[in-house]
Amino acid sequence: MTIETMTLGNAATITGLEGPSATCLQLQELGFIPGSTITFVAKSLFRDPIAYQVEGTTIALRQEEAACILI
Amino acid sequence: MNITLVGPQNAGKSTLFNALASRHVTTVNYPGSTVEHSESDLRKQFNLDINLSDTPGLSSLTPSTADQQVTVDYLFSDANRADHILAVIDATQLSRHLYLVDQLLDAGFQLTLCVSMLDLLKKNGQTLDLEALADTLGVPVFATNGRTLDGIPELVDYLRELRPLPEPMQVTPPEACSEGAVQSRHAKTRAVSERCIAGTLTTDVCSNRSIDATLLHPVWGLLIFIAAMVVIFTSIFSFAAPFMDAIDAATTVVVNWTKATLPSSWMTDIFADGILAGIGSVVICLPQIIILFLFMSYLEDSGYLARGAMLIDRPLSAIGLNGRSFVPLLSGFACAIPAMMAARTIHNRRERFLTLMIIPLMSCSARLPVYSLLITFLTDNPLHQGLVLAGMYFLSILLGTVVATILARTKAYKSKRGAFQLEMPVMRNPLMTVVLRSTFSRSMNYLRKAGPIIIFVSIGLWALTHLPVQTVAPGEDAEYVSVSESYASSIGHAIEPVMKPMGVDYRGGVALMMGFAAREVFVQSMALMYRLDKPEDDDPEHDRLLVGQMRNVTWEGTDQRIFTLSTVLGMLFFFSVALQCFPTVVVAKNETGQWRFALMQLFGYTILSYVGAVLIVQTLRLCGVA
Repeated sequence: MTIETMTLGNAATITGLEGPSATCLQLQELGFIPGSTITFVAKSLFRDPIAYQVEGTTIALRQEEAACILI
Repeated sequence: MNITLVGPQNAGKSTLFNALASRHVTTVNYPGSTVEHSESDLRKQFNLDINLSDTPGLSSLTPSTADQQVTVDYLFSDANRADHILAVIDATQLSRHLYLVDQLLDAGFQLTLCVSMLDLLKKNGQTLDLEALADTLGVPVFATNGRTLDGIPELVDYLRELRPLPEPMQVTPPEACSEGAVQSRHAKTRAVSERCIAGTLTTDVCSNRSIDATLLHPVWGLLIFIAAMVVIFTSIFSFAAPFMDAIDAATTVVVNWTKATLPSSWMTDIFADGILAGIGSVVICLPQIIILFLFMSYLEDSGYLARGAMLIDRPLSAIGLNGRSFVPLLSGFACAIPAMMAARTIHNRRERFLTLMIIPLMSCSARLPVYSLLITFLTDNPLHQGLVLAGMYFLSILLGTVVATILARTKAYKSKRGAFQLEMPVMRNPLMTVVLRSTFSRSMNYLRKAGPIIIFVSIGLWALTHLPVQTVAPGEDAEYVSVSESYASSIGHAIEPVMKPMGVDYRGGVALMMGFAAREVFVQSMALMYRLDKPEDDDPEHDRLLVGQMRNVTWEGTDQRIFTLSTVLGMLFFFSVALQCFPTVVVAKNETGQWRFALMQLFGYTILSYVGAVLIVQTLRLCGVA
């Protein structure tokens, strides 16, 4: 499933990353690694960017990048 | 020896740098680039023979932005190789932050680890075994807190004993890594973290989930953000006003006293009107700078600034900026100088430069006296006056949007949208010492770096408008004689053919030129050049009295009026775009490190404002509007 199906407060496990390889690598280096738990913390205006909690920190991602994360 | 601080964003790297460097900070560009970093000679503060460099935050040695690329290249370049690396990481993010440390060690760097935020870890109910961490990694580990200065003396003692290796460090840049490599490195750092951290997470202070539910809420969060911005804006606008008035009055007193005391000569004039008035124009910006930076440092240290940036990112990203551009742009409506300085919080260089580019278009408070006069010329009705003034603010936002949108599509500012990963720092009570330290260092940086150039330009501008020295016959207005016979006046005469399409003669040209010292100077220099009887500044009828006289000003030797509906509309546009403020040009140079940017901005906006004004005047005249 893609991350877009998540709603506010949801938590899920990252199953993989799919998309431009540079973006996928960057996201993984930041901590979005398969097996980690990701929580939808907050959305801003127009639902973009969205803040996710992962590995004990909160990171805001714009939609294009977040779309690479599969849950 | 040379030591470089390296660490992920929000790890406390710059806080540690500031704690070590105190106020002895210089800003340096990386060789051959415009990305800046701070350096400090620790001899001054601790008598350590160390040159310490800060670097922009890095989450890994695989760069994801152009700025990070420059930093990584710098770390690996042979010429600038540091003798030692101080890596700074956040204890509450141990596993994630060790990722970079592990990469640095693999690459062959000699490093010492500084772990920050141990107080937060403790609040979470956990402890970190520093010895176990040092043993596992095979590097010295220090607990440091740049905010409270805990652990700094120990670190300084250690650095005192540190000696550079006989040979420079042999390092190899990481090869392009695979997803598998990333994952196994994470697995490794997670194992280290599990081995060294004792206790289970009890009250996760760091996650801020409940605070963020409100602060980042699309409705409540936005209301809080708007409230915070209103407070900042009204503060720089109104709290600063009495201080600025006082500085202005004090400057006038000192200038007049000097002129009355010293023998009357052009040297006295250049000292009083050039140097002393120049110092006044440097100092007058300080109240706004201090107030803005008190608020900004407070919000930054609390962790709120990153959250505000996230809320407002979407609309700004549509025109090539990002959420962090908002505070600088908003401050631009008070004054471009503190606004440009505030743009330092934008991490991405491209977005920072784009923000710096459009800040001067924001309708600053120095434009108000000019707008007020010109709008009074257009209409007497207070309601209509208010509407036109609102229109001027709207025009300024529109122009900023258009210019940013166009520039974001040019080669120099182009980038793909999306590279936006904003890590939210922990929300916490800001420390006043941190806030004051940062405000003080920003203000000193302005005084030291921009101050001398502004004074120098002020002297030049005075010379241009008052030299060569004239002999004034008794009964004549000395100020009028010296300005009307000055070099500026000769230039005004020479460029009159250029000014004519804008609907003004050489006298208007000279007044516009004098306005480059500061926009509000235009009102009094125009009164001077057209020999208008200038009312007192605090006269409530000030604008109406001046406008009454402006209506009668004609082209020399004719009865054709100069100030007509079309010329005044053209001038309104001119003032909304022209970069008529030398201190702003100097600060733009200071903030970008390049005269090229500052001069392009100066000439670009001046040409644009001129062309726009000419088009307005000529189109209106073609349509039969005088």
